[in-house]
Amino acid sequence: MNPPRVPVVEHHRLTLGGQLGQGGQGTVHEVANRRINRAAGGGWDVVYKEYAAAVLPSLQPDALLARAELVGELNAADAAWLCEKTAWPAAVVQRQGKTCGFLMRAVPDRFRFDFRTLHGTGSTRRLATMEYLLNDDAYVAGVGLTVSTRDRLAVLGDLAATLSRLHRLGITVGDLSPKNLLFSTSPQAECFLIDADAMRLRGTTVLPQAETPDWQVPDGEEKATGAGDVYKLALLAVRLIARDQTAADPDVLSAVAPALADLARCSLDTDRKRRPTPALWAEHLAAAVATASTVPAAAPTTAGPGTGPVLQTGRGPGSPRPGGPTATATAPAAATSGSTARARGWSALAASVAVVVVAIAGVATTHSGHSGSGSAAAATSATAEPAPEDTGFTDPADPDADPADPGLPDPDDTGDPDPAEPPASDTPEDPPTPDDPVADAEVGSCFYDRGTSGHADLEATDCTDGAFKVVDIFRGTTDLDACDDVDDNDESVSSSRNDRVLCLSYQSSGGTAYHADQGDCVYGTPGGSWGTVSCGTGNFKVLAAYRGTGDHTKCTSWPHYNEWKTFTVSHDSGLDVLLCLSMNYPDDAGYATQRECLLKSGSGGQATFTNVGSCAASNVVVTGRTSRYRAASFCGNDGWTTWEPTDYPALAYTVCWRST
Amino acid sequence: MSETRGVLLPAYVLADESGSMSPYLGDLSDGLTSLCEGLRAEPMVAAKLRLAVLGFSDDVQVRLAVADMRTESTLPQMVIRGLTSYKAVFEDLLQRIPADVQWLRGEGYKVHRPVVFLLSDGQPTDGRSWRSPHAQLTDRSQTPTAPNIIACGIGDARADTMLEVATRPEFAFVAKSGTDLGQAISEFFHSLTSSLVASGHALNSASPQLVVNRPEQFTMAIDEV
Repeated sequence: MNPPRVPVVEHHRLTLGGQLGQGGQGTVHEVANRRINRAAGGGWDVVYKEYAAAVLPSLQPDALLARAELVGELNAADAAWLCEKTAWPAAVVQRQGKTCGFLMRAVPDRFRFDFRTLHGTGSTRRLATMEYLLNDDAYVAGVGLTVSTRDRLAVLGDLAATLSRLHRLGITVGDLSPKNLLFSTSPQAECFLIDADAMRLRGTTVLPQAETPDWQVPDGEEKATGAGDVYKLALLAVRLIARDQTAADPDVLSAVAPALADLARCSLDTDRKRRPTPALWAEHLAAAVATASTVPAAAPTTAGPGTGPVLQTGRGPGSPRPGGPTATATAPAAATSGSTARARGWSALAASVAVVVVAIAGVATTHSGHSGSGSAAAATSATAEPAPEDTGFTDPADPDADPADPGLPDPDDTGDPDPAEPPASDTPEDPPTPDDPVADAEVGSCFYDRGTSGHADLEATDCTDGAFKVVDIFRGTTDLDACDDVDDNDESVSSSRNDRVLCLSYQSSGGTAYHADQGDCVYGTPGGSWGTVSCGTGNFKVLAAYRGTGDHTKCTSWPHYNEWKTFTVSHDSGLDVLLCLSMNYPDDAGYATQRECLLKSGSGGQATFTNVGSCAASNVVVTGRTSRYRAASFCGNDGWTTWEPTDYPALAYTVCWRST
Repeated sequence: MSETRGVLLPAYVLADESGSMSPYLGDLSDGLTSLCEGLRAEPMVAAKLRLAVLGFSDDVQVRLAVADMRTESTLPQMVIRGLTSYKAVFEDLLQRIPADVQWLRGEGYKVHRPVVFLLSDGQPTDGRSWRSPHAQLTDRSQTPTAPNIIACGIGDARADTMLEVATRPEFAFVAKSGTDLGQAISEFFHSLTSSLVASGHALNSASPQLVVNRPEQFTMAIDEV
């Protein structure tokens, strides 16, 4: 057996070509004497990223090496896929044994485009970063891109699918931003992720997790989680359709597909437990692509000086900019829009939202107050600001900032410290204790969670109502997504000190129906405890289960909906559950409507009515229906069938019929 | 979400259009083109900047009004003319900058302290008369929107003058003696673009800062005195 190839290269063995790019973290150079993946038609060009000297002290060489080794550890299909979709680190580069950078594949040419210049003397080849698409159509067409709404949705769909698979491999992107997402629309719509070294792999990071301005998870939320990626995916969806860099209102997606707007709303929830999976995004985007407009962005129609829109969003013509001879403003070109979903289709879409909302309850990513947060505490926005070495000098804090002019912030007075960092005071309050609940936990153990959003604080208890029960434990990982597929999981707690993840299930005082899923059957008396039961006459079928809400108006569009049940959790509405229910009637007469044809079999009190889908094959037609029990007089001379559930008399019926 | 539409950096490029720049008009135009195209190709930076290009000589003329470079369809054109009046420059800015900031705020934006990049190829021809409007412009108690000024001198422009014009000693540069002026102009715009791109990123980060890159072939004026 061959020893595993150690993907480490000495710097002096590289023949470097031109510099391709420069950022706060380092510079990227061509490499003339290396190829990657020679099996693939001669192999791929290679580039070298050298970390800036300023970031080397915070670099984790082992984490970088683990990335380079990952490709060899994955199965062949996953490895090939990962290298197709990302510029994944292929080898670590060292100088005298010290890690200074890494090799990766060059960006495939289909993720570049010919940038059209203003003075019309040709074009330059540039990376097709998503940032170009977050501007009005006149700009997009003006720089030489041909992109339709369908293309946008299809690229987004590919990104959603990509995130889903990355998450499955234990990789979260973290700094998902328009700068490190590339797109191609030909030969097919797809995305490509660069800055892959910044991604989080199985909880580890190479450099402190950074975020791009306007692309940050909510204050206080842990960076680089799967749920954080979904948050940013939703931002991208909104902004790709709004053609705007900072839009955040999901309503803009309604014109394309109402289901996408709903999905974005869930995804942008500050409570990450409520966010859906990227897989659900992929599914809905695929549906939206089918009906979306294929008309590409219009080319600029005005060639006169300065007649482009002054304002970047569609607020209508703004007031003229001062000081210029060219102050006219026109509204941005109208965006093409897709069709809206049918009413029935909306119900069907809502059904799958509900299903996945159940599944994503597992992304309840609090992390233990005991988790080692050393790397997080060191986090800075390293990629967002140029390293001092890259620049001549900077304007440091202005001591003489003008306090009388609050509306004009100095460059140095708008910043705030990294909100994701735990406050320094956490440390003294949180010493290791002899009885570490996470370390001691077993499947079946129960805890109260006294923590606040983002930080669990577990306290052992009996398995009573209101407690969380451990339903599974994953060792050797801190990946909060590990619990995603665990039944009844409501919250995941990771501890890097113990290198384990606990999957916790909330013990609702309302009964086991709290964890019911779509299609399950449940029963309980009004005000009593509700359990999951086998389906039968007189109990309820779950049409939809919504997590994090008690708003039963969500149920009204479900066919056969006639009852709802909520489980409310007073201290954490994110744990609320709403079940939309349908009574299981004895036969099809229960939901029959006037003029519906049914097949009656048996007679008298034993008669059964079945909807066979054809009037020709039926023998009775429904002539009326009332929600009263034994309302014989309501039916006059017609035949009737009646039924009443014991605990829910309001759901009784009398259905009148006539032989055909 | 945020009530404001974001924070913008107004940036003013003041280019010398006096007669002595005549041989370098091509370099000046090319430099402006690369600046505008460079910003247009960085839409995330362009969205946070409003660029104005002003030509100065006996007076100040607007070559590009505070613009989002994503929405411009033409490039600014410079016109060589007249002498080198610094007084005209600072009197113009004293009116222009507060008005522009007020306008941007009226459009719903917050505004970073404006930045002025001044490129001059000679000594002012208006003696010392420019010092008064300059002092008023840069005094933050008199002018709350007082800009940071970066001054780059080429040709006959002297280091001590650049130091007087710049709002910080580190913001004053002069071309190394013997440098080709066309090349110096080109380098000025190159570093201007990279400074604006870097500032555009940095101003919106957790630790906002104005980034000023020293142009190649230039030295910091403070090193000359």
